[in-house]
Amino acid sequence: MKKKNNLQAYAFLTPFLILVTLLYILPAVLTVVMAFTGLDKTFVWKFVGMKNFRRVFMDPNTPIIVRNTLIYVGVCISATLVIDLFFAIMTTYFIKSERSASIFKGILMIPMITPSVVYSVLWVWLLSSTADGFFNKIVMSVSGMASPINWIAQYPMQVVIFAKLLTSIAYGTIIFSSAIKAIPENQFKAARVDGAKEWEIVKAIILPNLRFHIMFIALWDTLGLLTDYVNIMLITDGGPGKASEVWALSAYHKAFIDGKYGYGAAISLILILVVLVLMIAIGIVNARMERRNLDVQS
Amino acid sequence: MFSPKRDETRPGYEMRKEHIAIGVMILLCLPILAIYVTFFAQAFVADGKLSLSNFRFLYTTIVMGQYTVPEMGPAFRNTVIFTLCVTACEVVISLMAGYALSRMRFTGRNFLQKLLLILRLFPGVLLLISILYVLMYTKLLNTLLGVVLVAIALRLPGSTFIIRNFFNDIPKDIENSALVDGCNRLTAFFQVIIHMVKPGIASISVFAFMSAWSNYLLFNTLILTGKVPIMATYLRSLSMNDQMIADYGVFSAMALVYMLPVFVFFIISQKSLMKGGFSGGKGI
Repeated sequence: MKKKNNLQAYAFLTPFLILVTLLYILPAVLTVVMAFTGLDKTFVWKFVGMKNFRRVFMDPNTPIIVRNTLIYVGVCISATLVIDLFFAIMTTYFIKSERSASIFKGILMIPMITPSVVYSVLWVWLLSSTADGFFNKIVMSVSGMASPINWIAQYPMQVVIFAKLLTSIAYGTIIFSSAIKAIPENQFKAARVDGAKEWEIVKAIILPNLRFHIMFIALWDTLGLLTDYVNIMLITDGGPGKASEVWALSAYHKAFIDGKYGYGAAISLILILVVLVLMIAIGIVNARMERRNLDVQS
Repeated sequence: MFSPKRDETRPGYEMRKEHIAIGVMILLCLPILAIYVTFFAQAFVADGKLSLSNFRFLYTTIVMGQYTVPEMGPAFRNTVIFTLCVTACEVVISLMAGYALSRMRFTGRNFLQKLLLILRLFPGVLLLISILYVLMYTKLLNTLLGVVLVAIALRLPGSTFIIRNFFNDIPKDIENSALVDGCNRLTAFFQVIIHMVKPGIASISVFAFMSAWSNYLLFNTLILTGKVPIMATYLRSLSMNDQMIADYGVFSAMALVYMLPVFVFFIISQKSLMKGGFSGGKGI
């Protein structure tokens, strides 16, 4: 088995290597180069040095976009972690019946598996600004409010955060839930014999056992929240104005809507640098989990 | 004390807690279900009556006010072709690569292992601008083939990583005995090994299918002419039309047709989805 067989191995790897090199690694290199050019719809490569980056920092919209991104990621990530833990504890620790637990988890997964185009229309319909809108009807009958509210226009950030939240709870819930299942039952038994309250069991047994999983989900979801802008694009498209524009979406807008590919690449490159830091952190957490024989992904 | 049967008779207070927890979960899950059911129920209501007339787009052209709804046929066909190509290629290519990375010794193995780990985490969405350029340079922009290749490439590291881990879990002895029994690498691969990683193949095909079927972003960014409509871009353009969504009946009927395969796959494969890893929050 020690013998190397390069020909055979590379025959197996060729399709993988060709596709990944041409459409993953090459674009990564090109993004770095492009960020220093004034590439636009004419596709003429003209190097402009740091000009794109200076423009990013001078742009009056940049502080708004940075603030939106921080709020979006910050609120989503903290809410996701709390909700995930809550659902995981409910469906695994309190509900021992596998069947009802998997029905609940199945329902929580529905927003995740809904194609984003349908999901966004669902929100537009739900929060429709007319008095007939699903949500308006409920709010108006409960609060006695006279006129309907245009929810998406008035609360764009809240809407996109909530919509994203619903799609992201399933993954963390499932990861946490299988981690809770892996905790040896006698830890719980010992605690109960000692007269521990449920809250103390959660605090002293479940949370410490899950600390690497929590770190992993926090980092992994942050990575996803920073880079995945499809939901925002489809629900508010960053509007009204720049009210719900986030960093990744602004790169898309600059490149694909305004045709400023070089400028868009520069915005992407800045985000890629942030992402690299997160990737290193995920790598460290993964390595520590492997050492402890904890498994997050199949 | 050592009897495992003890768990079957759980104390009453624990059962009470379980019932409360089930009650709370039902209350929290109900709004999600209510929203989906109300939305899709509109598909079966026309003019205030229960009817299937919203589904008439399946066989005829629909006119709403002054707006003639374009046919769904081409979009549906493209979606099917796209999904089948991406799923099949992704599974085959990642199987081959995952097998080589897990089982073979070759120059550059360590480097490729590290590269796989990095690419698996790296969000390909951020590279779309330069991918557009690569496609333009290779004359693949605005073609279905181009998007198929991009979709496969961006998902390959993730699925190769998953399948490689499945290969890693198979004992080497099984493969060695196949080799001793006169199989070469290729026949051993197809006759023995591939059957051992069936759960892995199932799980990556589910992920590949679901993400390809609902992909919107790649078609939105890499098809600039509208020449290759798929269900996602088709429904998106309909949802921007005021006459179309004055009444959501027809739209939700179309959305239901679009989501049916997803729901079916979801119910079949809920178990493997629950193991996590679906698109990994990468949005592609």
